[in-house]
Amino acid sequence: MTVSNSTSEHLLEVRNLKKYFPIKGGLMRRTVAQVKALDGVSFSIKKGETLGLVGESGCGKTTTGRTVLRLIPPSAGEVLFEGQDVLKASAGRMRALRRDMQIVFQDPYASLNPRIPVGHSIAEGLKIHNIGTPRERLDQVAQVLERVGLNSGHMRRFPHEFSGGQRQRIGIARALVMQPKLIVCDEPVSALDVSIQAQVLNLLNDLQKDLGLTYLFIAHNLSVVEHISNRVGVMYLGRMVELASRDQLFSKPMHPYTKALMSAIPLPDPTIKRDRIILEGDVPSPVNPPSGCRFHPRCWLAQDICKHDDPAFEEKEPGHFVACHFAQG
Amino acid sequence: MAVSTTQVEAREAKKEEYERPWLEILKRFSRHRFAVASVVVLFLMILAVTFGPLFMPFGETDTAVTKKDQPPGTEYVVPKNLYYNSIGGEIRTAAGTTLTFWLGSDGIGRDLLTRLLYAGRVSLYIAVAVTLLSELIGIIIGVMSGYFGGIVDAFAMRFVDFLNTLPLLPILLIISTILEPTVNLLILILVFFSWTGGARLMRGQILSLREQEYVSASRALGASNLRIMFRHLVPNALAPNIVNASLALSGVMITEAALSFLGFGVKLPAASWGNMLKGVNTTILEKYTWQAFFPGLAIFICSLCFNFIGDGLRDALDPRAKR
Repeated sequence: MTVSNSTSEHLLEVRNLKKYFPIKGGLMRRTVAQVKALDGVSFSIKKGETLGLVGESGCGKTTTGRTVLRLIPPSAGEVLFEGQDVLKASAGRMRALRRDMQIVFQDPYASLNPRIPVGHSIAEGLKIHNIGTPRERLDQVAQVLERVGLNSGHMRRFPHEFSGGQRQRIGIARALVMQPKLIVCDEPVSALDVSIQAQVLNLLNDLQKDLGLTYLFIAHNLSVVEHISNRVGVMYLGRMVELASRDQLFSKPMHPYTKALMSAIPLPDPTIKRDRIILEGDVPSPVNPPSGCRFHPRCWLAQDICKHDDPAFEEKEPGHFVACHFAQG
Repeated sequence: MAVSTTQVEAREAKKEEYERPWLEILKRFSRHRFAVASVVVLFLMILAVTFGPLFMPFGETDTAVTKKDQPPGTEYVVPKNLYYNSIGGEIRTAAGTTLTFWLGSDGIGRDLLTRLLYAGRVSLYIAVAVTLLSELIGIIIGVMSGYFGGIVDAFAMRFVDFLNTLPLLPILLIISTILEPTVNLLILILVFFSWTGGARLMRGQILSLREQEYVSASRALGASNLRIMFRHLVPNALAPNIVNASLALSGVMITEAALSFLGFGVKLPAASWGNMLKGVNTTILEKYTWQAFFPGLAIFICSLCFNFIGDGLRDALDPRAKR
């Protein structure tokens, strides 16, 4: 998978991405408030790399993934795919771009149309982009089904005839048949059993190795992210709070929120004792986020400065970005 | 040789890929016994009303003045001179022949079976045409309204509300004074007033379905709005509309009857199942039951058949239905 005339080594660059969902109310259905689901998120992904995005529910992970693919329109920001602005692309240009950027969804049950044989679901993208004859498409579907570990005869069956893990493989096949460069994996394993999770993760790993794919991997399970990512971004309340290589992040987390998350990873050995960091309170509402650092109401390091000054997202060590006034190793 | 072989292969692949879903649907439909039986009954009925009148010795409006309100099976010997008081009818049978009113005769001596057959033509035509057209329009407007939302939705639904507040009968009275009422005009007007139910049903379904992830998946593949609406949303949202349509069919027959009373629907002396029932009162029900029973039975059988077919269709279109 060679990339022509791209000067940047980054396949995807996201700059200051914002998404505010309006809350409408009152007689005239005016916008009375906004849910700040994404409030200035920036990151980039190199070719062939996997960037993991973690964070608790409602922190904007999924919104990030969908906005990058322009499945929901953003409020502000730039998304550059091979140097082209995805968000400003014309309808025709966007159609072409969609071949290169695919998505695998969280819920393998909801992401396949129950009335269409899975072979047709997989071939849909090919059909939309007028790729090949019906016969060729059939061959491609058969190939890709076998590539993801299913039988080519399965293409005639309907989604309800498959198990969850199999359906997720079909979802992957649907993305794969387009021969994309980037796949956004939106919590692809969180709806699956643990044993199946490993199978699907290994499949994704193998595909990346063989086809040179780039993943934006969204998850809330840190072990999963550690397993699959090259770099990891931690999100909190619509912001990226820490972004570093996997090894840096897991061995030396700098942001207090990341530290708290790390301390919550279950260890398989019950005899190991460790200090867990218990965060007080709940995640504040994204409608009315705290002033200054968004994490300050729950942070044990918080000082006065945290209430007023929003910490910049800075490179504290090479390749290790943190947004915290008191970031420490 | 090689070329022809690949061509054959390609054709077979095409067949497999594209025809199989329809075969599957047909297979599932054929498992629904009542639905299959209904198709047969309805087919026979259509056959009967299309060709039946050609074989009847009576015309649609032929009147045997001496044989009013006769019960089923009454025999009638065609008199020598004046045999029918036929309105525009022709004499088809030689004098002295014995004819039978198989289903009896009506209040002015017309053969009920003959009228029932003629009436079936127009009643079935109106009912099927109105239902199909109004569901079609309702589905298209409903899916756009639900899918696009916002201004489109607000405008479409306010228009639906507006139509639903209009009183049908006075408006029809006015229209009938301006325009010459014909069956096709009647169909158009009924469609204009009856697509709203289907549109609302479809919109409601779409509102929940459009948030499904397979819609996002299709969009991520680059699918157009049209493709998403008609390939993904409508097939999944169709079940309530099918049921609605099969129930609406019999309603249309009754509405048509009410309209013929206002000089709109099918005008007497031409017969429709609706206007054959229209004149029924308590006297007829007590003394000449057959005059109400047979048109009623015809409407009943038809709506029952359409309901069963609707059921069968709904299940057949759903691949998750139990085998």
